[in-house]
Amino acid sequence: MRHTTSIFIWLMAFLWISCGGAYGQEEDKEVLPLLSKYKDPSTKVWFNTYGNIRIGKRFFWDAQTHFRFQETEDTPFIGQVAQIYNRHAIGYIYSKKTNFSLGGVVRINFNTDEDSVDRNVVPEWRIWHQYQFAMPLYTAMIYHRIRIEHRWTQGFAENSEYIFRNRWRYMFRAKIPLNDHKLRPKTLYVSPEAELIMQSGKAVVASPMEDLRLTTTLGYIATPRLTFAAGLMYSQGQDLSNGGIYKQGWTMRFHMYFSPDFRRVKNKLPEIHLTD
Amino acid sequence: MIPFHRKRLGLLGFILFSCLTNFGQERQSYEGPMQVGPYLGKAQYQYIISAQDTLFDGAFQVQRSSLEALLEKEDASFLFKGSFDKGAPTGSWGFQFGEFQTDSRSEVIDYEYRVLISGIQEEGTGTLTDGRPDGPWTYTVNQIKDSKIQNTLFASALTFATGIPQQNFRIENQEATLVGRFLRNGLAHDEWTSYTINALEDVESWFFEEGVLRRMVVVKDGKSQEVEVFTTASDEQKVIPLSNGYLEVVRTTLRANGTSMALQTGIPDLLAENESYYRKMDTVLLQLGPSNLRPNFMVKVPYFPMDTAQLAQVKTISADFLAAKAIGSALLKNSHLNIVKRSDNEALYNYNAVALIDERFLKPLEKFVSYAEQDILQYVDRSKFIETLWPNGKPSPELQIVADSSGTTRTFALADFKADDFEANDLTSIGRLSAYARRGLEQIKETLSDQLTNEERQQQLNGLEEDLIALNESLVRQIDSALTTLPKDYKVPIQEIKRLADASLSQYATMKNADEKLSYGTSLKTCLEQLTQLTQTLIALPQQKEEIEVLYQDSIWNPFMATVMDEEVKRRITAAYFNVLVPYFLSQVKTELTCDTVERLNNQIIHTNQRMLILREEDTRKLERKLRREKDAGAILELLHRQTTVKEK
Repeated sequence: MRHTTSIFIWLMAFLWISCGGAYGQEEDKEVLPLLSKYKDPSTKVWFNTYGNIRIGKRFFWDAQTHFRFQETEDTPFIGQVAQIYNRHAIGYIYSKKTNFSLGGVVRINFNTDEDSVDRNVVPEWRIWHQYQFAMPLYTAMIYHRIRIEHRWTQGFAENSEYIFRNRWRYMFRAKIPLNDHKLRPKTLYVSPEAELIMQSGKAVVASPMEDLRLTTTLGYIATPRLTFAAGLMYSQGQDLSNGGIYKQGWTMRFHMYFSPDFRRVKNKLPEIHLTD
Repeated sequence: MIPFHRKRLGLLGFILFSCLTNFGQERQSYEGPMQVGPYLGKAQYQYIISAQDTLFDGAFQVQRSSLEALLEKEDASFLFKGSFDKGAPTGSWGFQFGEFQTDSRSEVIDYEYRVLISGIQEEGTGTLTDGRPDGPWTYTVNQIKDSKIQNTLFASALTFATGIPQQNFRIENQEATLVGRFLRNGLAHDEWTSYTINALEDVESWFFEEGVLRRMVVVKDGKSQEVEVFTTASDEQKVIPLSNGYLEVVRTTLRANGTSMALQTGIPDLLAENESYYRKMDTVLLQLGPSNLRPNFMVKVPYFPMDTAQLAQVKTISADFLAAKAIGSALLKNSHLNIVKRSDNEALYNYNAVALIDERFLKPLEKFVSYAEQDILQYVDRSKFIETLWPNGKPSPELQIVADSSGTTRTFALADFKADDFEANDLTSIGRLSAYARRGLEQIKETLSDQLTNEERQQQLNGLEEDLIALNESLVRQIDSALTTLPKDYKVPIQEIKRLADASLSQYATMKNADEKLSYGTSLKTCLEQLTQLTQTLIALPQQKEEIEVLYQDSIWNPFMATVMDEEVKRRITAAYFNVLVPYFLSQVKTELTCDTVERLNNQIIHTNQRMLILREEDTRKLERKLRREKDAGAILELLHRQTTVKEK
């Protein structure tokens, strides 16, 4: 418990410093429309891998790599690579139902605007921390995930400067077994989820709602250490430059979850008795 | 005088003598332990010494009750209380028999601890004169619940005049109530009626005329049925006690009259129950002095006297029957004969002849002999009685015996028996029948004796054969019950076990040489024992498989689901076991089973199961790598075994 508290204090101090160090940015003048405008939805395909590598009795390495494709004028539907996304963290298992993570993200953004003369690739940096809680409900499990990200982004234009934003994310997710009375190997499950992503920062003037994601996923637990899932996501959110304009998207998502444990057998035991 | 008590009294006499308290006719007291028949308790009584005999005289009491036994489980208590007059039970007497339990609840009332008891209390009370009941006697059986009478299970009220029942009586249990009356000489008279408690309409009445049961009327479900019993007035008659023998006479008379009505259970049951309680008291009293504490109900029956010659005939019949029965039972139960008849038609023929004689001669004769023993043959019309013993007609002296498995018959006959020997329904013909049974069975025994006794090792073989049959029966029983529960793929192998046992027994039966037979039988016994073990191993296998399956699972915490899941571990080992070895074991039993391989097969399964339990904990990475491509059961078994030897080094 003391351990958790100290991590938390450390985290808060870090947030304080990083927020204080944020700097302003010159803005273009934008005029809010009288009525909100919804852009046509774009289609995307995401291939996501989630690794959860046990490195100690209470610690794990959270390793996620996502490949995100986005439709373009020339290549509709799957489109071309838009982002390659590397998210890593050290996780702490507080209990079987509660865990925390802290780490960083490097995202490589590709310019999908084929007419653009700007740079093709720019990096994006984040520091993130996450608090996840699980609750059993009848045969299903319910998960609450709070994820906070500190994000430095820049445009594709040459010499564009980094802008700093905070992201505030809450996700509600359920996993409901379909062909069994509990989540275990050889089980199909359906997972409805809703995530609201809010943002703040000097650059955020009239568009705090960055994204609202509504997803339904169908998953299959192949073994206790390997799960596959696929789903469809609808999302909408305010354009950063103009809060009156809403982007929309339809995303097909494919996931692989794996959780290897390379520890020696004697260190593994006891596997589930965390509080012994 | 009181023979069973002599030892104790001898000791007592010695003590009394040495204390110089022996004062002749003067009454003395004893207080201490005493055994009365099966009842051991604490006694308190007075006695006199008369002509060197110890005679009870004055108050007498013996009782037992144990609080310890009651609190522990249950207590059987008794109390016999009364008085004697110079050795003869005289005066007021009471007999109590109780069986109690307690739930150990206790309360304190007036400086006494009270424990509530539940159980059965029997009590008989009345007056005795010289050991005979005199005046009113009652016997009640009460069901006690928490020290209160909850139910009266039985009650009878009789009146006696020096041992002879008088006036009216009443006997009731939970089903029915019987009332009736007697003449002054104790003979049943007039209407005896039993009312069913639960259906008041149902009435059973017996009508006596000075002890002769004339007719019975039964009203049941609104229908009335009447039958005559002893009708012929001209018959010579005799007074006998109303006992089970009498009821048997009534039964036979009804049958002989061709009446369809069987003797109802109401009145006979009540009478028998009452009789049994009085016998219980009489047994106690007989140990203490002269006693005739019996209901002594008297009835009159027709009398068919037998002369000396007839009595001698009956004696011969009984003797013939007993001799024949002894031979018949011994042959039918003879294990060697039971085995030999499987393969030897001559033995089968003889066995069937014994069975037929037992069925057609001995079974009916048994009833005749039991009548002779109960001494009631002279109270039944013998020719009618004999007719009822063979409702389908008497057997012919030429018996048709099934002589082989296809049903061919052979005739069995004895010299000096003619076709009409058994015809008449008299003692002579019964005598011929019993003589036939005896001589026939003696002849068969003689014929079989070559087969049954001419070898010295017969006794040995008999014991062995009994073992073989018992082993085979228990094996078959286990297999038959397992067949209903075992999975499908076990059925053929397990039936193969049964087939092997059966085939081996048949082979044993066909062997002629006694030496060979003994050695083969001995090894067959081992084989049957091993087959039983293998059967048990196979029956236990499905559950053992399940245990192994559970054993080879680890609980894994899945971080994405936040759920603990079971993960199969060492999959190559379990796959080899479930997919290769278990089917291999079953097919081995199916195809390779002989008396020589059965032990090896059984051990293979048992050892493999044990290895599976051990391997779970061991480091098996090497073994798992080797198992990867191995599909051959023999090689897999060797690999599992090698893992042990490596470890052991």
